[in-house]
Amino acid sequence: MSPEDEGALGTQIVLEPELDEFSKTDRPWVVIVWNDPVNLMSYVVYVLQKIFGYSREKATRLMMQVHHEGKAAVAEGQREKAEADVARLHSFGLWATMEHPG
Amino acid sequence: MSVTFERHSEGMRISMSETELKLLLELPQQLRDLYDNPLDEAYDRLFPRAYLDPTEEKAESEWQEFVHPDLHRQRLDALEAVTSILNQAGPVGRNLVGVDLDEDTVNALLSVLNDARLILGSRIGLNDESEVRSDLDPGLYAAYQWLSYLEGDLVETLLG
Repeated sequence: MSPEDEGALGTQIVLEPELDEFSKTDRPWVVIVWNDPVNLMSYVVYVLQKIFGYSREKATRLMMQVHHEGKAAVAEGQREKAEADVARLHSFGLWATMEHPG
Repeated sequence: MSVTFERHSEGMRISMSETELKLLLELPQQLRDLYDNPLDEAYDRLFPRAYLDPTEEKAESEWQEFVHPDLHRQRLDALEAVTSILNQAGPVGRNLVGVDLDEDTVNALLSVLNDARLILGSRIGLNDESEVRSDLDPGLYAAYQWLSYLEGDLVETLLG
């Protein structure tokens, strides 16, 4: 929205889209681990525990979701954090990507 | 198969036959060749994209530029650590050699085993857990199964 519009439309109307913009960029990125035919189930559990500090139960649940549904959201956060998480997952040979929902 | 992993107070001991030691010592050189060959079909599996969204191409290339040298270096470091520790293996029992691993060398070995399996998996065309191709190269498949057994055993030992 250009500055000219702001003056003409008044505070109320101008603020709403700004808030929408804010909440959109503020929405967390989601880190996805994809199923692959090579990585061992026990290894995926081990890596999720090691990287994220998850309990055995949580790591196992996420691994089973990857296994049965083809992928699972294993973490979320701001772009920089998600990028760091993906890099760590790649360093362990897991197939991971990140996406911004919506 | 006689490779075993055994936890003790200061880490973990790997024991194996001389033949198995020789096979394990071959892995780092093979991996090193691949880490330096972006044209290899398995390369993209080891160094995949972070962003699938094609509109994030700029973020993807910035991310690659930022993290790829580190990811590459970590893998080369793991190869050196594994070569160095395995070369210290000495007699530990009847027809067996072994060496004690600390946390760093355990992680390095795990990284080497897993990357070797990812590469072999790509070579033999594993694409679905439920199906094994009938034209699989038997030698590669045997190597893949051996490494899978080893890695599974190592992870079970780590998970306790």
